[in-house]
Amino acid sequence: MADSPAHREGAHPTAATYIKVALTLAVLTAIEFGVFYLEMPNLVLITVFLLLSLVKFALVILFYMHLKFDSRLFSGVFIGGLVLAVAVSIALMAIFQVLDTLANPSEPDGENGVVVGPTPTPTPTQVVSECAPDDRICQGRELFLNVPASAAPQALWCSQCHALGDIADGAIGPDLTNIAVNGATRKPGMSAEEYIRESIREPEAFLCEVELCTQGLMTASVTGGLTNDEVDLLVEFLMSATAADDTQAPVVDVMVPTTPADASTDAPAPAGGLVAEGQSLFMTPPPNVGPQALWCSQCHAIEGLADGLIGPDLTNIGAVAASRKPGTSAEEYLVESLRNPDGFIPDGVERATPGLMTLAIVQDLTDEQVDALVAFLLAQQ
Amino acid sequence: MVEQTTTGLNHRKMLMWLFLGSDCLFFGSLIATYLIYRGESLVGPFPEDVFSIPVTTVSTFVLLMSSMSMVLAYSAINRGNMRAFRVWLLSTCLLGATFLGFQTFEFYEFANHERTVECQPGSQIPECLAGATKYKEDYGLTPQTNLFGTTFFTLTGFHGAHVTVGVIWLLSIVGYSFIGGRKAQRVLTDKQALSVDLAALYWHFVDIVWIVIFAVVYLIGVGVT
Repeated sequence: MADSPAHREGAHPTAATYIKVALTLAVLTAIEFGVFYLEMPNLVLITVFLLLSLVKFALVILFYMHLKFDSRLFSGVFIGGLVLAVAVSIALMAIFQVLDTLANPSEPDGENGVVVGPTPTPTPTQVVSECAPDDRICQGRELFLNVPASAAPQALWCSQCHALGDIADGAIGPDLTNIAVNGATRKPGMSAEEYIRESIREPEAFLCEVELCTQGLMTASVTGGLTNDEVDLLVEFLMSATAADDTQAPVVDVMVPTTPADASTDAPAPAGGLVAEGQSLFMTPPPNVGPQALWCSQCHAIEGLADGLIGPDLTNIGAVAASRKPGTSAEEYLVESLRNPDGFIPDGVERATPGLMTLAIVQDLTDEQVDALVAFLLAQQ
Repeated sequence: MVEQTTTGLNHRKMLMWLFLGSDCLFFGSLIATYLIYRGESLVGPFPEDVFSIPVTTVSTFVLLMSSMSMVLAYSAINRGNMRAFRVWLLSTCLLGATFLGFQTFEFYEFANHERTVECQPGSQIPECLAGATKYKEDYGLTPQTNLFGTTFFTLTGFHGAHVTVGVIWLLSIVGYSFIGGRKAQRVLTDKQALSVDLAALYWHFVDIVWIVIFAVVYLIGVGVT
């Protein structure tokens, strides 16, 4: 034992040294705990925590793991792995641009913080409730038609996507007219009320086979901010919304009377060529896709042309696209946004909700159609 | 006895150091992933909602002290003091198990977290109907809840698994030290001491990983806004 290379030096620390190291470790942890409760700039906090943990780290590997006394080859093998790990971590964070935000989280990201459009389409805000305090149905109706009070600024609300009788005409998700009756037939063994509640709380739990039921579009992030009470309000409202209309034929899932052709007739006359083709694709469903297809203007606004309120405003996109993603030209950025919508979500752009525009929406577009759309969007200066 | 190797260093020990070096990459990637998705969760609960820094500071302290008792056990076996060795090694297991207890408690608390919500006029929530102005509702964190839950539980779960393996390993060494009766207690072979050395290296590594997790995930994670 005594003559093994690891212990040949005879300079092994005594138990007293080990206890001193332990005391130092404990004190450093206590300092970390204390600093945590001090009001200090982020950069100071990060520096202090990293330095203190580095000292603790070094103490343990030098004394407890004997790297101070052992063969330098062991140190090399371990420190090599450690340096590689730190380099990989820093590279990963640099790729995802978190290093800047970790140090200056409150400052907007200069390169990506451009807000599209000189006059962003006004976002409807939470209106002062006009409902009586005990009128649950009325409150549920307001929640259906407006931004929920509990939600973040990027929040979506139900009527943007769903149609409901005479009061809402969203054409993106399933029509909810008669859901109180039809809901009971959707999932075996589940009442309409249970089905509605599950669909709000876990939108992806069960997808019905009705028109306008695009998989993965309504994610948990859309409804995650709702409180239990708000969910109750919505369920009660939806259960009541059709209960009064028993005269209607209940079982058929009524398709919203939104005719895509209407949208194109409202639009200004196309300028001709590729741009015109792009505009037509923007305003109406592409001819080569199925009945569940969504088209751009349902969610995106372009001043004077379209007024979608769900995704970012594209009024000025031709001018700002080049500044969205460093090292990416306007055209490259638009092609990427169309081909891989989840790939890059710009910071500071209104209604740029991560994960909402999924690959499923755009995957059927041909290369020619993407070219036409890019040409049209680049013309939006 | 010096092993006949090209480096003059024991192969098993070299292998352990290589493993620990590569394990740095494993945990480094998980920590980086946590940081990348930090602040990207769209729905709560968020770190500041569930973390309890005082509780985690205590569990961090427990793990640091387990490292001390581990190194004292190592010191004892090198001096040939089998009795002290067993006492310190069992203490290490106990402290490690205590740390795991803290982690289990923490995970349970996170998963069953609640938040207080103000009653809206006309609310049908039973507490509100009974006249309260606020009510509590589930606001638990699981790996499925959001990006914070996914990255946090993956990182700390793998660390907890490492600690669990360490506790089992150390317990097996305690058991091993009784095999062979009095004879084995008197005669400490190089092989036994090396086994303790390797387990100790692993145990200290798990400790230093936690030192980083505590600073980066907990202190920076909540303290830096």
